[in-house]
Amino acid sequence: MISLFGFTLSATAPWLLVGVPVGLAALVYIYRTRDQVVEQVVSTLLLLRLLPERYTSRRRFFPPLQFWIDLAVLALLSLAAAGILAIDASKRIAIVVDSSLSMAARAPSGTTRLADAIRLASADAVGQIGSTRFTVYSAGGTLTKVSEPDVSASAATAALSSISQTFEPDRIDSALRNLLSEGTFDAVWAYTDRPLGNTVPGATIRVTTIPSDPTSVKNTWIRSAEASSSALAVQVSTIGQASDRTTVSAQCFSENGTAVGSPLSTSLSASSGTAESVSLSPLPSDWNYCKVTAQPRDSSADLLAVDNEAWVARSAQRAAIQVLSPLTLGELGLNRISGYSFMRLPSASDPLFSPNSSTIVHRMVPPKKLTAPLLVVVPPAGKLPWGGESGPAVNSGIAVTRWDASHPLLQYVKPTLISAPSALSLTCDAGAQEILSSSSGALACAGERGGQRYLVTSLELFPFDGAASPTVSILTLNSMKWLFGAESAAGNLNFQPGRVSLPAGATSVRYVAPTPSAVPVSVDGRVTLPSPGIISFVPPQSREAELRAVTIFSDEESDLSRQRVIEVPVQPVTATRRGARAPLPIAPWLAALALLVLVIDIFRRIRGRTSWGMR
Amino acid sequence: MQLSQETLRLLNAFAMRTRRSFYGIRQGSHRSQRRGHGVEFADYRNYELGDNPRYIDWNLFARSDKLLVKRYLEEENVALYIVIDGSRSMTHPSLRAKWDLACHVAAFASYIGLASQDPVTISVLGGPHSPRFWSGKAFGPLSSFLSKAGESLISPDVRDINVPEEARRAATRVSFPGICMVISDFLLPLADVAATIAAFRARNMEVHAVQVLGESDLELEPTFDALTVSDSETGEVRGVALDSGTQEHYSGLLSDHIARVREHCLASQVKFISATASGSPSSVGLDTIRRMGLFV
Repeated sequence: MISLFGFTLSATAPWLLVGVPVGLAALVYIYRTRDQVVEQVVSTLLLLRLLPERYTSRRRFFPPLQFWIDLAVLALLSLAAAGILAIDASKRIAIVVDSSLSMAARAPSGTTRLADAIRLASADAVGQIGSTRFTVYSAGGTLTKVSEPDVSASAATAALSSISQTFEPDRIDSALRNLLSEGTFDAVWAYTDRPLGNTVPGATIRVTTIPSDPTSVKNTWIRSAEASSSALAVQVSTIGQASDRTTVSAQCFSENGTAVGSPLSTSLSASSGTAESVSLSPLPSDWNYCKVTAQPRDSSADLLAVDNEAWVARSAQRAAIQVLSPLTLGELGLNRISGYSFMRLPSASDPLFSPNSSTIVHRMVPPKKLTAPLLVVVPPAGKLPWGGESGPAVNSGIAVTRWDASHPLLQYVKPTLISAPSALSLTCDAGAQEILSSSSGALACAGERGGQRYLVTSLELFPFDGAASPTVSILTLNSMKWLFGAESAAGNLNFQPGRVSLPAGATSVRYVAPTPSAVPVSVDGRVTLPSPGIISFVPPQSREAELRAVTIFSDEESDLSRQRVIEVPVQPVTATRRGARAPLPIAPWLAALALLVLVIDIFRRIRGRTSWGMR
Repeated sequence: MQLSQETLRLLNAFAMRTRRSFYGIRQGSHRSQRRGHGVEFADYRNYELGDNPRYIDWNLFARSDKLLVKRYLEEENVALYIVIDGSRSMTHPSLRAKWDLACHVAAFASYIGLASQDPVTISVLGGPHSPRFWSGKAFGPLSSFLSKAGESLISPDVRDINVPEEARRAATRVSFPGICMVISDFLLPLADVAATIAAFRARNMEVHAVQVLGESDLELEPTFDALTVSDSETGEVRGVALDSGTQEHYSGLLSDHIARVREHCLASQVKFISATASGSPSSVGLDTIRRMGLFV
């Protein structure tokens, strides 16, 4: 094997390469022999002196042009016969830059963490040898390729500079897992604000963590903002700013962007690590959307400013939810939940069933493809949306042993009080989060796939009986709100920035606030919403525009003090790369080149009027 | 050199024919410049005392009252000189075909001359005792002479000669003018060719030039791209490129040279003929004898 210009040359029949030196020796012998034997005694040089003289030395070898042509053809054919292959030996590296919300925080250098990450990644790329090829990804809510595959360091640097900040929770864990499982790259470099939790042998992955001191970070953010008929309920969290005063204010606007009513404002004193709720009232009667801000006294110490604002929109219509259940709506108790419009369907094969509508699947097989918010309650065993297995039903002794208290689903819920006669143990999807777990496995998995939230629980949430089992009732309402939007008189629904799905057939999509602008809609009916604000769209079969708030509510991203480690699977060192080492057969090209040389030689002979037999 | 019966039969049909008359040595079959008692009337002269009265033309005396005596052309033999160029360009071992052809032509001409009782002298230019001569009346010794001369000349260590000088020396041995055949390849500078011919013309001889060329003289070795040639006379070596253009150039030069020699011969009233030593020397020699015009 020979390395040349970033390629490794090999041959399928290397012993045929001996044809090159053997052929060279044979050619030299033949040409020298020709010159040696051609000696002729002539009667006189009287006339031959008038001819052009040629060399007469018998010792030095002056190869003519024909010799080089013969040698070139011989060498090319020998190489072609040897089956020369060129294998790309250049190193292929994937650069993954975390562009999630937390990367918008100010780094100690004064710039954002994303800028630092791009700077470090660019420096690392430029420092590699020239044959190294890069593929640049950004990992916000989704893993997005921002460069062509296998570009040079300079092109990778240009691609890095084009990465823009997103406002979504990061999915860098799953992104790295996907890249590593592909096996396409020699190494994966990640630049994020999260540390690598486990050690990966073989240096397949390298995580560069933007330096930060979790003990000194300060941030104030809005955890939630909900509108009722007369007030705005705002929940604010703070870290690193003990007993500091935070001013929470709101300004409401009409549909045409005109401020209505007077600004609402209040202040709170939140201790670090806790969440405080305030109520802003009274809301003007003719408001359409409001902008809520939480401003700490020392705003310069706040590292992440973008989560200090939230948007709330009023929706005139109730969310329509289709219910797949063997029970009726009355038996499920759904007629007791206000703010939603339920439609029961006996099965997914019903003509009225729409995969793009919010769906509650109760004791039935959930759909595999997720195109709308989905709530799955007690799925049949082994019938999970992601195809995973669920354990057998446990009919007694269900006790919640672990839970994620920060998750909005468990707001106001005391998991220890949850008692259920029976449940299944679930195996959560890779991107899902275990909300509730018992000693035998997960009881509830919540996640997001394809921009749509879903919740799968093996706990029976229905029938909704209100005060009979308050803990489960709160969990049910939280689930309804988290999945399908807040249940309120205003009917407010929130989107998170990123790639979200509007109701099928929605038209006239545009940003209303903070800056009116058009929003491009992709062919699959999805829109990319880069930043918080208010969007307007006209739903299908309706003439009136609806408003939706695009707001960031992500405690994971805003809580900069929490060091969430990245867990990636350990890759075997000898992992093969699919497609990267595909050999490039160059033998046909060599044979074609030999043919071309022969054709040129033929034309040269024809032009020179030299016949083959009569040299 | 042994001549076949067929060759002898063909040669017996030839007879030498001169373009002009010479003084012969003895009675022969060629018209002589000498007046005598032949059968062909020549002219009259006044009767002188002592003349045989039988030769007086009495009829003329009756008409003119003068005593005139009839004179008749004498028929004598004609000396045939054959000069063979024995320089290295004719006798080099690799060019031996030329020498063989020259010997055959000389032998054939000698046989014809001897058959008609003409004195034949052969002079070979070249070798250690150049020029060497043979003169006789029998073909056998002549053949032996040519064979011995060939053996001595074809030897590799024979030095080259100056052909015009040797020709001059050979011409000094001529006693009676007659027919002179110069057999050579004439691959000499034109001045040397002229000097060689002039040496014999100066002796009042009727010169016939026979050019003998080898195949290698007509075309260079056509097998390779390049050729290293060496001069058979001087040993000088020279490299020659052998593409098609060079071959054509060489052929043109050779044709020009032959044409110049031919023109010179024509201007000097010398009969010139060229022969190529390819194939059987006997058949080529007979053809050459036939084309010379000297033998009919």
